[in-house]
Amino acid sequence: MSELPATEKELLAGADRRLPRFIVLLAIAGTGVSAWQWGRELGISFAVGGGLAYVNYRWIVAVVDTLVQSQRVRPTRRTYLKLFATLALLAAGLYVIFTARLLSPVGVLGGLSVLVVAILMESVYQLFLTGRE
Amino acid sequence: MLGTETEAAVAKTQGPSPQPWRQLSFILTVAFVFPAALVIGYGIGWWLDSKLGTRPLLSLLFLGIGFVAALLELFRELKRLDRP
Repeated sequence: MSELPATEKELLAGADRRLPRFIVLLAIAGTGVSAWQWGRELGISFAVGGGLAYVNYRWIVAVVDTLVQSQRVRPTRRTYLKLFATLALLAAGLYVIFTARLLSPVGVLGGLSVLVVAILMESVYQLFLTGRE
Repeated sequence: MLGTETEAAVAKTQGPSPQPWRQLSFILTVAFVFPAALVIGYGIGWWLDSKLGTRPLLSLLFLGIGFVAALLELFRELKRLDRP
């Protein structure tokens, strides 16, 4: 029996702390840049997309937390329902945003993609950390 | 995020556990795949609609396909998470 090595635990805890921060920082920076470069509408759209990316991430983390804290790795019906609801809301939100032309689809997509950039940033940071050790 | 109680429980029976990394991988995969599948599905439908003049039929249809694809991926990931 053994647990994860302390360095790995630290790395995981760090990723848990850093990822949401990266998402927020990128969303704020992206909103500023797109509003400055392409106007207010795109800035607002980017902010909405970034917000969706953050909520989506937080929601999934919460579901995994529920799984882990109940010490029941086998997913329950409620877990499936929660994830299904997240996906359904996201689909409905995107459909309304795109069809009602309330916001710029490009801006929303840009905002949603902050998650990917945040993951890349975290990966590079972890590589940097492990390379330094 | 990565519940120490479960980590310890798993470690008791299995030695050093990849479970927390698997959980992180699950979170990142699902967080990425959800919006990506929906956006790609809708994008294909929107493009076909604009070519065929069927708006919003195909947009909705492909959004639905993206939704189902995301769900299937989610179930696959949950199964992987469940695997010891």
